[in-house]
Amino acid sequence: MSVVARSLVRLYPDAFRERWGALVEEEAHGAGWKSWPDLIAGIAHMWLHPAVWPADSPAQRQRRVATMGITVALAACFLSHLVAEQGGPLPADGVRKGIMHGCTTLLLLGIALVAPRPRPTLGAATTLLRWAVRRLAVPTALGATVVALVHGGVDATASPPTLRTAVLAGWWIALGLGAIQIPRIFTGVGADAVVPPHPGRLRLGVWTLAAASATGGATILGASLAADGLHLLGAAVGVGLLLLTAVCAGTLRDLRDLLDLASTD
Amino acid sequence: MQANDAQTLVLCALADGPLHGYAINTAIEELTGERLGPGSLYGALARLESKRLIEPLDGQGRQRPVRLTPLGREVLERELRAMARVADAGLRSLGVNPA
Repeated sequence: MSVVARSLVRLYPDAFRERWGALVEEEAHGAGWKSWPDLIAGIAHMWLHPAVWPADSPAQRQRRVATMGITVALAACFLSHLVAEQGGPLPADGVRKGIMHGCTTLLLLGIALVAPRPRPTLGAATTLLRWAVRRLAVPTALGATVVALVHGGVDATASPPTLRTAVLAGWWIALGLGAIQIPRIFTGVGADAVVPPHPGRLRLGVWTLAAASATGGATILGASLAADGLHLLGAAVGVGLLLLTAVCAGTLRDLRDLLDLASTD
Repeated sequence: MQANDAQTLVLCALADGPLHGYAINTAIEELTGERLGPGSLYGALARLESKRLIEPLDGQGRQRPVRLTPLGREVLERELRAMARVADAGLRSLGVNPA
């Protein structure tokens, strides 16, 4: 039983685990298996609210929120791209396509607003570059291999289905890995290389991301339900984007607390 | 916050003085009849610390007790007064003497 509790506690973010992990484990061990659902809910809650993790300074909390914003934006980009490339429910032209272009523009604007700024020093640039190479080497190599295969003679009509599926899976895995690894660059480099945006700018960025994911999610979900028969992938992506909007709403509430604290300092 | 909100319960438990996590949950059990789950308890402690409503005491090892900050005491008092007003009005509407 304690093995399960210990394994669950390991799923908490590092900062939380270092501060409270041993005590959570003791409490979970004492409460037994009945505490596991509460523990799992607590873990999910903590990952969704990085502003709450134990921190040395308000700037560290802002940097975590900025990383969270980038993660949400990349997840939204990935989902939108997935539904667009895999024959989604949206018509090839018309108002809905215009809406999706608008959402992409909003997502890019949101990323620009929430992204931590590199410090203007050679050391910071070197650190950032080193972490980028370390984190993005695998997805870049995988993506480049897929592109080389496709442009090097893999014929979609003549190739065996297994190879086509493998190439397609390789492409999406490369994109997915890239979306996971980019936020990890910012968590890796730390305060020496990047500074978080001001809370007000961060708040505007998260609002922009929320608007983009809500509009995109509602549009894709609506088109999926209006199609002849339910478009399963489109509906799943639409719901996913709306869930990302809910994540943004939680982040905005955390940011309000950060701003309140900043105003009392 | 609400009367059964984990954060309010933790603040109430700390009103008497500094406690560590296990003792906070024991105080909550005495108050409500049941312990908070570990995710709820330590999630509430992390959130309260991030809002600077509680703070850890130094030099007490792994079982570091936490205490209310002056801001935490002020927020707790405000919350309890608001709850008391609601309870008072509700009981009066039911025809029950609040006292």
